[in-house]
Amino acid sequence: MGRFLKACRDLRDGSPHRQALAMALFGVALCAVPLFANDYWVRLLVFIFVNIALASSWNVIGGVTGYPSFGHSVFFGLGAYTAAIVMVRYELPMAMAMVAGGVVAAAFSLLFLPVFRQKGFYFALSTLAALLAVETLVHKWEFTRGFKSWDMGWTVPSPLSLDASYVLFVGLLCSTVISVIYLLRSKTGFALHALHKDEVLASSIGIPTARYKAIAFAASAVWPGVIGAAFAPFMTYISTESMFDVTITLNMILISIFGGIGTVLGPILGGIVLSVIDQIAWGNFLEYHRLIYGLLIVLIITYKPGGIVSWLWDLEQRLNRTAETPTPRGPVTANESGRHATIALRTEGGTGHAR
Amino acid sequence: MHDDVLLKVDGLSKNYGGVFAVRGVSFELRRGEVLGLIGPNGAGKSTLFNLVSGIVPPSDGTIHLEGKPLHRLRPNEVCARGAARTFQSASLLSGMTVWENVHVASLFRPRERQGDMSAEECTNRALALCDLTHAARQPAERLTVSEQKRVEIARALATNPLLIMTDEVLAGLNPAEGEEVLRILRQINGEGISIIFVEHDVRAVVRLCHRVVVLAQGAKLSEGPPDEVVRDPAVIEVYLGSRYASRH
Amino acid sequence: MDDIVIFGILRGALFALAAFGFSLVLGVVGIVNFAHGVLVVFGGLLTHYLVAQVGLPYLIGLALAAAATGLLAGAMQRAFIAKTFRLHPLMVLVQTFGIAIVITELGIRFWGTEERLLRVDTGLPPVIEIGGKFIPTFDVLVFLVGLASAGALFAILNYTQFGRAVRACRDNRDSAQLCSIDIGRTFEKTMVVAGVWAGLAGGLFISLSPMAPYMHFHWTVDAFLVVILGGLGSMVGALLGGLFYGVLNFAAYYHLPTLAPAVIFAVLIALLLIRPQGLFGFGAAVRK
Repeated sequence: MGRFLKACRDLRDGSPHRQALAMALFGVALCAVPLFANDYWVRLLVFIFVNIALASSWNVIGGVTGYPSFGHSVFFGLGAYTAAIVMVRYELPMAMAMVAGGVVAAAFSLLFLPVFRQKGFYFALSTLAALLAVETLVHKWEFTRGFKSWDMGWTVPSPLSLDASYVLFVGLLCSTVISVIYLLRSKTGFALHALHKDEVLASSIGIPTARYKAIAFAASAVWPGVIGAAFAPFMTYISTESMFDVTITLNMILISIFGGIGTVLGPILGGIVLSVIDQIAWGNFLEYHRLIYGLLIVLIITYKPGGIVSWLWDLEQRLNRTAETPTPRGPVTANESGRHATIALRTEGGTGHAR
Repeated sequence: MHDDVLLKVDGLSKNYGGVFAVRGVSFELRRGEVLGLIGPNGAGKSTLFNLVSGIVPPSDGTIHLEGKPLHRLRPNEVCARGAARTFQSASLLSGMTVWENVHVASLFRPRERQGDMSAEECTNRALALCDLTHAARQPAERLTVSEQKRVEIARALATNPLLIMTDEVLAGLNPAEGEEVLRILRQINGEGISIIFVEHDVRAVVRLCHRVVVLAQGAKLSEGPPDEVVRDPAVIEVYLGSRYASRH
Repeated sequence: MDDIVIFGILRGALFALAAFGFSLVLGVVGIVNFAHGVLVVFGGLLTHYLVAQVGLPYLIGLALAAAATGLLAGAMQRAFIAKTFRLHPLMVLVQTFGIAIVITELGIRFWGTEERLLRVDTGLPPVIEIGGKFIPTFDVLVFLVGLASAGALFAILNYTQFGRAVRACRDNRDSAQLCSIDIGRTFEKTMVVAGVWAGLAGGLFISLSPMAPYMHFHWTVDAFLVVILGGLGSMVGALLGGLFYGVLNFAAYYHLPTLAPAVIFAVLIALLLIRPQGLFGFGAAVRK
């Protein structure tokens, strides 16, 4: 167990290319599942993939940048409705619908530009206000409400079979996670980490903070938009209640926190574990779904803010008794974005000292 | 000796609800110079610092860097123009190594002053100048106070500044460590970077600076070469009380 | 047009009441309480229960419900927020978000999801004439009670020891501690006060307009908007902001019922862009 965890730690500290490759291989392996699983499990897995991908996206703005977006399901809903309008009203192909979904979501995120110059909580509440506003607007406006003026939702036929949809969602999940991996290791990732820790400091070393917050938000909005657009035909019927439900945002937040906020691995682990819990509880506790989720959010933040991932690294250190890298200090210093030491390896001449 | 005016502060004031933290302060920093900024507690040094670095907007007055206005800019724009600063209390990014901490600044150094160096080269150079090359891989949490202070300086250096403002960079250091920092600052100055040296330790100021500005109660009390300022009775009085002033 | 202004102002007093607590908690404890709207709704629904089910007179039910809401808020602080407010403030936000969900879901278990409205019999004539206009008496009464309780809050903040401690914590927490003000207990009391006034707002509102558990986020956002409009940290600003927001809200729903939330949101964004210190705020906007 200790060796396995050490291998995981090495992967985390290693180059992003290796991480991306690992994710891609995982994705390929996942594609084999429909060969021996029945439709029920295939559909279930699609839901899990969607949840993980959404959580990973949320994590970029909520965990890494430290700006929790409470209305994030607005991007998912916008994507779904964009797809409905593009595919049903304008009869365009699904691929275009997905691109449109991403574009609409990113464009909407840019509306928040003035909010980024203000304090963090203005952002949080604005996203909630946005969700409420958009949900009402979409629900009441004839153009978006449904195809016929009396409709309360959209029926969006899917051009793909179940198995094909499954593969599509595996692809979307991998794309989301891999793009997050590279984002966190990029110049933008550095900027976000700095401004999460201390905005004044980040600004003083030359980082245009408002701009990078906007970039992070747009980046976190695109994938939910694309995934929402793919989700509409998958579900075949969408309405505002289902697509803009605050539970979707709840899911994103809970999965990220439960798994380990600010990390790449967190949303993945969190999504898997929570889905398992969900499956077990499904039959018995359907009504209490939201209540349990809310309770979990509160308990985790109160007692173990670092989530599963921080627990795992603690375990790894104990098993291997390493004292090299310090244990993550405190909950959301975004400690685990996986950039310990390694970038220093790419120096030229200058340092020259071996570890 | 130094003729070219790099930074010009003119009539700078900051008013907090009727209380002037800084009142009508004017001074110049010349290119290549090390300017000391001293004063007793509450004199307004921190506020002045924050005014110049753009963290706090002034109530009145102007700041010009190379003739261009600096006083209404955001901190990142101030940094981009060439005025870098250090921070007094722990401001290193946890969860990152020393190298990465400095590298963030290199990544965002302004294009006009990038020259031919890549970001990595810039980071390495800054670390070397501050004698931190051996500690590059260490996590930021594990550093000694002396190393932390030097990382602050390295980070400011990595932005390729025209001037660096140091905020009590000697605080908490023993004499040997302080010497080390003074040596580094002299070396940095030798490369053509001007320094505004805000410090409590008057002796260090006298040794390092070409000129000194003394603040008291938000206003400029005295200005001039260090040995003159130190003997100025008004300055002595404000530090040690009138009994000492009358003896000199 | 006049009607909108009048009705808006009448309702606005309630928005102000709801916002006071929010603003206080933000200034003193330093957190944004996402569960604030829950307190308003809780106060409203509990008032309804006490009056409609248990049969208490309206004012008594109102007072009891407000007190209970205060206790709920205090419990929130002691059990959860006290443990986490030193974390990154936005993590505390998420925590209060979770708390809001939990309390709402528990409330739904008890109250169901449908809306409730409380009909209160005052024995006064149904409309009253003011300046040539006919206005429902009850709305005016509610407005007056709202103003009176705002006044009471001002009095508490300015003339009691608790109020002094609260203001000290808000203005300068470190100095307050040096003056041996117990921060923890002050926080708790602040939350209780915030809860009481939020519950009061809810209990008054439910006699004018239906309320249901799902509305809590709307109330949180409303309180937030009032605070932005009125400027952070200012009680007078919150009052004026509340009145102004009442008019804005009423006008938006009256003229553009389908687009009202979007319009309000757009106004919010515009405000943050043009005048972030609020319409009535004084002093420069502080960036994070």
